Amino acid sequence: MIRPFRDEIARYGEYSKAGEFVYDHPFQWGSKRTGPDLARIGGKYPDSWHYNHMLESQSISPGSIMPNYPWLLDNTIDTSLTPKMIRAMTALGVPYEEGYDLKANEELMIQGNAIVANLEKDKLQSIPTSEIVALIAYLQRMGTDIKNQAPASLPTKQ
Amino acid sequence: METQTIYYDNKIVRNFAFATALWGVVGMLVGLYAALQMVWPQLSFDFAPTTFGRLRPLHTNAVIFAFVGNGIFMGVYYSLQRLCKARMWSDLASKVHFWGWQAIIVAAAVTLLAGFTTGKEYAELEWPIDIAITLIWVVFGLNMMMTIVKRKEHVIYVAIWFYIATWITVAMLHIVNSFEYPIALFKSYSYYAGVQDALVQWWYGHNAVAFFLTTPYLGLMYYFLPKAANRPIYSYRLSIIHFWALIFLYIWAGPHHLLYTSLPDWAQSWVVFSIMLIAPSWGGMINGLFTLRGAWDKVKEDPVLKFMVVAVTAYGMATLEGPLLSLKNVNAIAHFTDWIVAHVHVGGLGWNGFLTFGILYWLIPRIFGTQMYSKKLMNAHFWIGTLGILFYAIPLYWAGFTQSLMWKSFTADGIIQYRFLETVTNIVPMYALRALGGLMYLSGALIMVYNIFRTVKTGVLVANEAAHVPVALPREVSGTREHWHRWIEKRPVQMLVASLVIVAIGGIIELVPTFLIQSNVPTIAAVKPYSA
Repeated sequence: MIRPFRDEIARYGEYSKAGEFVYDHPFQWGSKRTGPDLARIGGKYPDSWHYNHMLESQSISPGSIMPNYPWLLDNTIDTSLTPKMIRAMTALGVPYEEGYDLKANEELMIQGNAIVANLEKDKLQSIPTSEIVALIAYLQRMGTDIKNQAPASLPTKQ
Repeated sequence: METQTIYYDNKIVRNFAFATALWGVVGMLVGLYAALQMVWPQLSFDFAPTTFGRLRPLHTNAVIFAFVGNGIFMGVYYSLQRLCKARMWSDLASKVHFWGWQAIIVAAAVTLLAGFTTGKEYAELEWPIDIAITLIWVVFGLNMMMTIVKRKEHVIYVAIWFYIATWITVAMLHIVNSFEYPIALFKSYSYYAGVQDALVQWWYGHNAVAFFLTTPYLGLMYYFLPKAANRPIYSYRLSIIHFWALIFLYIWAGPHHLLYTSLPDWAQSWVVFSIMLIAPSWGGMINGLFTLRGAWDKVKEDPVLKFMVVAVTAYGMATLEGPLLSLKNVNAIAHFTDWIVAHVHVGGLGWNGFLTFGILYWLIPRIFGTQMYSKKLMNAHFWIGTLGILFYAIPLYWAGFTQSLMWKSFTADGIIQYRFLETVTNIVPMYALRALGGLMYLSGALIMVYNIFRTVKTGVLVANEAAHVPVALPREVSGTREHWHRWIEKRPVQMLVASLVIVAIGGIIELVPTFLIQSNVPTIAAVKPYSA
């Protein structure tokens, strides 16, 4: 949740708009910045940066107090739940096209494979259904919907 | 007047008291562990269940719903029987309530550590546990209301007004905020989305503070403080004004968590109620502290009163700070920082913690027919606990303010001056001091557990305490002029309904328009559902 303040727009990007969260069940604005705001993290760093950062944040940001999440590399997501998740979202009013619940896993694999290929370029091994790939997919989407529309903002710095 | 002998149930009070002490220590220990990870993140041992993200909700749930929750029930079950001159309505209901609540706590701890969460702060528990909470809460409410109905006393005392308002409001908040769509045993999605979800969540979230950490504890203050000081409450009139004003104003308090967010500006304007809250909050503090008028010599001698005085003072400080933090210009600095963490801990450690300790020290020797084992240890607990609060809060205020100023600093060229990481490493020494404060506070609690353990060993539980009460409600003397408010004080059901109406007003006016008025949340064509 980026507030309309000069420093926050300079640091994170365009301030958050109500319309950006209409499909978020639940909202995830957060209430405390123990780390930097992630509302516009999407597209800011390459996939491999997130991979290494989740594995060991201190290797990228010495002095960081973020814990390591090595199990994300080994754990996989349960794709058998995907159709159910999409149907739940549809029931709650998220406008997925009809029949998307059955197509979702197909797209999930395409997206997962693209991230796997990206990581491979940096010599990082992963599989498309691993938790780390799912997390990267989510992070790279965060706040990007209106990125191209937003007015040019002040120079940013992480 | 014909009297009969009845027996108060002290066993249920003891059970809740022991659970309070046990979960208090567990919750504080988890808090300390999480605090240490903010200095040494490697203490998570690269193990998912012990990472900060899972410990934090475990800590908040444990101290709010397990420690303070059991503390509420301990105090209510003790005071309600005496104020109503009646045993609890049903021993079975008492038992179901006690064991049900403990089972919920265990289920909460296990699922949170396993990584199940709804993602809503202070309402992280998944839907099966939400349902269990509702059922047990109904058992508690039924047991309480039926006890009040069969009372042998015309008027219900102010402490009970607070218990009734607490029960009905928590029920309303929990049910409305827990609307979720389950897709598996431990996975569900919030019924609400985005801005509406945020508003409902913080309407619930702040009122968890108001109606779980404040109103029931004010009820406990109204019973146990006059008891411990052996003085009547300072002002009956003040208690009437303060009670109704407090519950009416508190329910609006959610939006102060959402200042400067995407919440529509008109809805952010409800913070005026948060600012007005200073009046009824201080009404409660004044009524508590002034009850000690002419008894301050006792405070010097009696550790129980010392704990209570610090508790009520911390309540006053936290409720002065709350309205200040609701001012937009102050909030712009404090929000998202450790300032807020310091603020809630003045309330949690000072008000809830110290009032709980005071009540435990007052009540345990009474139900075990003995004296506290060591007054020295009580005093040691008092001082190490008080210093612990200061060591906790002051460094975090410093950290929050410093970090916020660093975030907002620009160089002369108009570029952000500090990287985010620099603002963190700069305050890590403050985090270390905070952990030290937490360690001191926990040490005090452990001293208390030892002291209670020794006390219990020297006494015997008076499981059923005899009391002589009228066989029937005494006939009222007619023709005497009474305060108009007495009317509702003799009618617990009307009191329940009136409380619900008063809190529903704020809830409905605040929430409903955001759901009904489309233009409140302008949609953006570029924003699409999550997909590849």
